[in-house]
Amino acid sequence: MTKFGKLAVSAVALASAVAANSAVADTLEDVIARDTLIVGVKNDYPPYGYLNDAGETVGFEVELAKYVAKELLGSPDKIELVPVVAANRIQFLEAGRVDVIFATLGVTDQRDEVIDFTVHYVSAAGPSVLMPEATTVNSWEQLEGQPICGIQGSYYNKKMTEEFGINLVNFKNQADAYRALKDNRCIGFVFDDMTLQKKLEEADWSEYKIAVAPYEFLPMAGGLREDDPAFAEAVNNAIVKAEGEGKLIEWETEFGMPHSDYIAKRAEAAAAQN
Amino acid sequence: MFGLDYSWLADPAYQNWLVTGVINTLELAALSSSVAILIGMLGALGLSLRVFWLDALIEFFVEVFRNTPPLLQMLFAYFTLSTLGLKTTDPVTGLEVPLLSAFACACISLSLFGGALAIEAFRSGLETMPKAITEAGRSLGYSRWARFWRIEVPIASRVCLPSLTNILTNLFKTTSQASVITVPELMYYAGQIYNDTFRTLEVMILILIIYVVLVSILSYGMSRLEAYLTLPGYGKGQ
Amino acid sequence: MNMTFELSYEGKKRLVIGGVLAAIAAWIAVDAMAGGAEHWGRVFVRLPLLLTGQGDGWPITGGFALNILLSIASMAVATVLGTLLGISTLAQSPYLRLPAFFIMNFLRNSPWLVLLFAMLFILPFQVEVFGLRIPFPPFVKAVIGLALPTAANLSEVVRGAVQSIHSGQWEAARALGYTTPQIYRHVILPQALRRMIPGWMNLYALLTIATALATVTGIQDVLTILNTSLAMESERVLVYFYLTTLFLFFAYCYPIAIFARRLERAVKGDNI
Repeated sequence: MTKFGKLAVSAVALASAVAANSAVADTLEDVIARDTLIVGVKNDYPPYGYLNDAGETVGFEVELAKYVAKELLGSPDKIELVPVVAANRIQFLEAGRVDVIFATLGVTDQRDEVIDFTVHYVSAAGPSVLMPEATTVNSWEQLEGQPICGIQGSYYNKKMTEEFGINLVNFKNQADAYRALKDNRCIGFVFDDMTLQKKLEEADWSEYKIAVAPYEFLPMAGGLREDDPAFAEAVNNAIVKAEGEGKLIEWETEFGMPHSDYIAKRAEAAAAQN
Repeated sequence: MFGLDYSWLADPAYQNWLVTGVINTLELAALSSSVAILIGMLGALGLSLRVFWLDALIEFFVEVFRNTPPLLQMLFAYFTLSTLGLKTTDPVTGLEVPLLSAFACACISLSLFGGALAIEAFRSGLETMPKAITEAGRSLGYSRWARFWRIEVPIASRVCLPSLTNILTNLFKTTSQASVITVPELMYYAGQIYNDTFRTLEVMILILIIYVVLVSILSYGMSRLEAYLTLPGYGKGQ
Repeated sequence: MNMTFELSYEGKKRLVIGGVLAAIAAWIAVDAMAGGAEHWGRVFVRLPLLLTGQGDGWPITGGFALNILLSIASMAVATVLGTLLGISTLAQSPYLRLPAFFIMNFLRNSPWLVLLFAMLFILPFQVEVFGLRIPFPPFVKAVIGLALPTAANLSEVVRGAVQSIHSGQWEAARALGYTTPQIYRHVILPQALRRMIPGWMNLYALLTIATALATVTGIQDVLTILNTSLAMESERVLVYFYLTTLFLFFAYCYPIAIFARRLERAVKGDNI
């Protein structure tokens, strides 16, 4: 047999190992049996999920996750927080590493094909571009052909390269991207607007500005595995309950976010429903 | 087949990314392999001179690069060399930019890592050289350099071809780690594609197969070279 | 009589290496006085985290200790798989030999990082066998992902060692009525084992270095922790953290490599 013949056989063997993949899941049952909710959250993404000075993971979505744990299991402490990044959150969810992700997940059609979304609890500005104060760039079109730092797994990456012709240099995590921007490895960093605004408040970043403003708003939601109705219902009920109690507005205040109409309206609607 | 969905392969954007990835991988592998072989030869020559301080320095170099992860070496080169002063001024923007691009950082660390392994391989090749041969060269009036280049390298490189094959395939496989410092090679584009399509499993299986095919071609080529260069009495010609 | 103190060649070499180390130590000292001490202080504060994954060093939940644990677990799995695979490639039956060859070549020619990453998604997160649920947490996936290429490399070592045993021994054992498994167990493997040890140890050092890749599976290994700590530190301490992590790997792998080389020399003299 030729070398390629050997390869073909191995490939088939490999692929058949794949075929024996998971059956229909009932995550709710698992979570209750385990008595712990395993949640994928960001830990480098203020205000949604980040490490405070004591090294604890806190943030808007972390509070939401704890609230869901409280509703499901009776205590906000029956939770395991798994740090995820854009490039691995959906994979971790699919691989069963986590039960649910609350990790700045924008609702897009492509994602909807592989996972299920919870109710959309936030409407966030899309990407903007952080650049040095001195830059004259102020529109997306001016970035064509330029090296811009980005994050692997961001939903807008394809649009950036295909539509705006940006030469994206994608990193796995934000710390690396910020470092590369400081080193001038790229002329800007395209990322979630609210996080970049937060970054500008830091003393180290006083010589930078948001050079290009976001072009869209996008709802954010939690991510769930597909075909898991009991769990989806439980998580959604918990989120709507939190909205009705005005918790999300409290968390906006707590984590220094501007109050958004979207959250206020959802709170009203949820309160009326309850 | 097996519930795998490869329909994304029809998208020209992804095809383009895959091809670019393969080309960049080949470029990175070819460049770092050449430098690694050069480092290996020079290092082994240095060792054969039996100058104690040179010997010590080479040994130090080999041990440091052999016993630390190439992934960390690359991260170190990418993120810290510019803070240690390897910077230059961009003529267009007037900004201070790192002297070494991501590709250069990957290339340098891979070359040094491969070079450290190659020194060992060439050294053991030279060690198997019968004394009579080098002495014959000396009595024919060859200088040290001529002896090394015209007698020892041709014989030793044949003897150490099998271990060199190992090192080069190893180096080729290690190029995939350059994706971590954003070198746009095959593994990097794999990440881009599955983050776009979420067909992680399908993408990874395809990428794995592409790598195995490329590495198999490399090792097949090396074994042909080995057969072609066989000298009676040495290595496989024994 | 020559009374002057003469150093041997090896002695002089050691002196130069000592000199290099002293120069590095001096450079660190000078840098420390020029403000680096504060940065080393930050590293020192985070060192328990880097080593054990916990700020106060106990209990061990990650860090470099997890890398070592991972290397030991993978090596154990790889030893079993590699021996079986190596012996299978020497089997007389083509139904055993050829598949073993395919698997060995496939695994040997795939990059560790890609294989590890592929395993993360190929392996299900749990399998159900007779109603019994066996979970595959990321650590187990990392163990398998690293064990596979190691096993393929080890099978080569096993092959080489078994083939190096003189064929007369096979014939003698067969003449005495031993079956193939018996010959392996009582005659070949005990002798081959000695020759396998240096290769096995070299491979272990290589595997330990490769555990740095396990960070892609999301376990709290030293690289993941390094990244998390760097996110909390200022950019100036970067170099110090990276150097420390590089040194951790070096300090663990170098002695193993040295020991393996000694054994290699000892085994070379063997004549069986």
